[in-house]
Amino acid sequence: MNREKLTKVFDRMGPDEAQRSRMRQRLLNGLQEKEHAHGDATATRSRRRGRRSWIAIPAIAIALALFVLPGIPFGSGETSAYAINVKMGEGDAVFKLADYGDATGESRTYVSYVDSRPGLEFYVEGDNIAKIEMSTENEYLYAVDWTKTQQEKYWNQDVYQKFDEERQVSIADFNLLYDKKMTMTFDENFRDYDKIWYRWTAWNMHKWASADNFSHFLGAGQKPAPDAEPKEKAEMAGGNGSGIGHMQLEDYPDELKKDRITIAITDRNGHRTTKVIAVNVANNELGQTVVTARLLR
Amino acid sequence: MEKSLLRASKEMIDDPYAENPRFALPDAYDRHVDTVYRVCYSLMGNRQDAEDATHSVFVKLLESDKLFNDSEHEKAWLITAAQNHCRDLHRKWWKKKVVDLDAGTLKLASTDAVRDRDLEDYLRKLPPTNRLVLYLHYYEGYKVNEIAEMLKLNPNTVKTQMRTARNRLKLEMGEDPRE
Repeated sequence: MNREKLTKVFDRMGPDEAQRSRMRQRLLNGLQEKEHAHGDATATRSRRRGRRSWIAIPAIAIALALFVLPGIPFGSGETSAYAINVKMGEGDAVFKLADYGDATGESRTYVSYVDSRPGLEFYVEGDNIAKIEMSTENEYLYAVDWTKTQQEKYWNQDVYQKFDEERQVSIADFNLLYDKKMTMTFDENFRDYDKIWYRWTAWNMHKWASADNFSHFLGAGQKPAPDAEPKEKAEMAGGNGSGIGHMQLEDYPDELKKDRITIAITDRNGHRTTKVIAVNVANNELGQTVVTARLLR
Repeated sequence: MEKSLLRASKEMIDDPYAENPRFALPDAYDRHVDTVYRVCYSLMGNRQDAEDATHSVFVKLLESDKLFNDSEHEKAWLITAAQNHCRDLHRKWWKKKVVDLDAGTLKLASTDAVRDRDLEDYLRKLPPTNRLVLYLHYYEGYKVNEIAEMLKLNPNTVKTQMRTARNRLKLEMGEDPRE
C-alpha cells in the first residue's frame, strides 16, 4: 500500500472551493439571522451582554431515496432483540431491515441498490447469541470474520487463495469459500456480533453470465478505439452510470433470480428465532443489475 | 500564535475578534474546515452528508464554552466533535442512501487518477472508524496515543484498527498483507 497514494486520495476528499464558499456563507447567514432576531445588527464589545446563543439551522434536507421504515428488532419476548443491518452503496450506508407486516400495519420494507456484481452484505446485532445458522436456496454465502473466531476460511484468505508465482496473481478457488449453509457459534464472552459480516453472492448467476467469454454481460467484446481518451475508456468500462459491465438477465430463469436467506438465531437459553431475507436480482431500464432485499416474517 | 475562537487571556478583552463571533468563527472555519470536512467525509461516506455534518460541527464550536490553548487544541476538539456528531447521525433510523455522485467526477486528466479511484473505492469499503483512523494517522500525522485520546479509544484498539484497515486495503489491492 503506497502511503503517497493514500495521502493523495485523502487530499481529494477535501471540500472544493464551491463547497467551502457555500458552507462559509451558510454559517454567516445563520449568524446574521441570529443577530437580527435579537434586534442587534452590529456586534458589541461589551462583556455585560453575555454570550449569545445560537440556533442551529437544521442540517437535514435530503429526500429519502428508498422507502425505509424505522428498524424494528425481532426476537421472542423472552429473548434479546436482534436486528439485521444491510450494508450497501458506495457510502456503505447501513439499513436495518424491518419486519414484514410489523405491528403498526405498515407495508413491508425493503432495500434496493445497483451493483454490477450482485451481492448482499449484512451483519447481525444483538446480545446473548449462542449460534447463528444461515442457509440459501439458489446462491451462496460466505463471511468476513474480523474477530477471527469462526472457521479459518472466513479470516484467512490463504485457505482458498493461492499466489501463482509464474503469473504473479492470486487465484481463488471459491468452491473452498462459498457454501449454501453456514453456522457460527459464540462463547458466553463474545460480544462482537457486528464484526462478522455475512455476504450473499450470486455466484451461479455470475458463472452463467461469464460463460462463452462473458457473453451475457452488456458491452462484452466491445473495445475502445486505440486513440480513445481516458474519459471515453472509463465510460466504456461502465463509469457513466450505464448498464455496461452488468449482467443481462432476460435469458436467466426467473426462479433463479430470486433467493431466500434463512437466518436462525439461538440464544443462550435455547430460544430460537428464524427470519428470512428474500433477495431478488433484476435489470433496470438502464440494463444495470439491481439487488433488492426484504425481510419476511 | 494564531487566534483561537475563544481566548481566556485578558489581553483580548478589547479585541473585537475575541468578543464577536461574527469575526471569530470565520477565522476558525478557514483554519479547520478542510480537516473537519475530511473527518466527516471519512465517517459519512458521501459529500452531502459530510457538508451538513461540517456545518453542524462549527455550530457546536460556536455554542461551546470551551477555551483553547492554541489552534492545534482547537483542531483536536473539532475532530472529536465531528466524530461524535457523525456517530450520532449513524444511529438515526432515517439514515438514508445517498448516491455519492462525486464518485464519478474524479478528474480523468491522468491515468493516475483512474488508478487512485480503485484505492478510493477500497477505502469506501472499510468501516467508517477504520477510515478515520487511517486519515488521522497518515494524512494529519497524529500518533496512536493522540488518536486514541481524540476518539476516546484504547490505544491498542487504534493500533488494531489501523492494522486491520491496512491489511484489508492490501488484500483488496492484491498485495501481500504480511509485507
